[in-house]
Amino acid sequence: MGVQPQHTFTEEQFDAMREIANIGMGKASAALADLVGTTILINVPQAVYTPIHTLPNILRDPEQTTAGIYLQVTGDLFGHATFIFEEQSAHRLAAMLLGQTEVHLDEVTASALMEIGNIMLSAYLTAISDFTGLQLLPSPPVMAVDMGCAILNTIIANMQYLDDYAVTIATDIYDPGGLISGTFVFLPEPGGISRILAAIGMG
Amino acid sequence: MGVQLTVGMGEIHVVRGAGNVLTALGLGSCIGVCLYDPLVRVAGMVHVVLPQSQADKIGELPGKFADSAIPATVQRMVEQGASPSRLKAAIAGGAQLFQFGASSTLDVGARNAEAVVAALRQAGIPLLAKDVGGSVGRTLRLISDNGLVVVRTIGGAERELATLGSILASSGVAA
Repeated sequence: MGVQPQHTFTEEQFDAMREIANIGMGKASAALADLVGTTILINVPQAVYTPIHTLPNILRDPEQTTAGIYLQVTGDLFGHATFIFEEQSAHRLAAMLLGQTEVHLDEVTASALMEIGNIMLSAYLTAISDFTGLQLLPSPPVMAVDMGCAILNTIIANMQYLDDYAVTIATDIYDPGGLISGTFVFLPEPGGISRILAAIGMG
Repeated sequence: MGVQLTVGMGEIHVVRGAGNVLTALGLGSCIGVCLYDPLVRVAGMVHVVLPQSQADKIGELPGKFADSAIPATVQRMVEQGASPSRLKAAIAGGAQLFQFGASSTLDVGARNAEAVVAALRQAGIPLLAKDVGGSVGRTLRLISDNGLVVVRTIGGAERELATLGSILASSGVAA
């Protein structure tokens, strides 16, 4: 693993990261809206350079049961992307996709949720690829149903992250009726953000 | 006055006296290590993320790696009056959360558990109880009054894992 350069990103660069995340999330939320037939809204994405152990603080309730769909990004840069939906939201999303009124978490709903996450994450990555010209290749998704904090901690451990700080891009996703609530997190590996910034002439 | 502290990834917290609670929320593949000196009621918790450090990458958080976490926590406890020979340990975590989809590369949890057990053995600290592996995340609490260690999983009540300060637990330890 490389050493994380102690970047001091400028405010303009953070603005660019937020704008790129906004483009990606726009596509991801539109993909979800198409899938389940409801309006999906996103908050303005956050882009911060932060101590990595504080990352689970982005969750409203770290111990709440959630469904986390996670994939790794390879290609021109390496990174880790996840959608974390609160349990009730996950059930509702799976029910909407499967055309049922109520679902229990079993293999069928798990694969429905994984597919939802996969489509959203792919839409996000494709939008960023199109905007930057960088090739971003998603791994097959994996999913866990557990405390949101445990899911984020496990993803960070899976990064084999040896450095204390990381760029985190995060956005909340929800619907106007308050039925769906989730969090998207993208963690580029060291150097990944610099590649994105360089690709758009902001390096 | 007691304090309640949350022990984040890679963090070490040490408290002295009764009335304190140390908590590691939502351990997935990470391991929460509880250490306790019953005589002086010094309690320590560290939230281990990875099995092994690299010499130049320990950084600000020695607690992140199993091999550096145990000595660093013991050191902090000694500074608070604990004796290494009185310390007892309980650990929880090391799960493999991602059960759906291809997950063969995601089992850092098992390696974390092995590395923590080895580090405790090397430090000569008895491991009284462990709740590791499986596929569920855990929240771990250490109560400083008596070294009570409790674990909670999703949809479950808290249950006792060990009492590091009990007379039973102390037996067999050289005075």
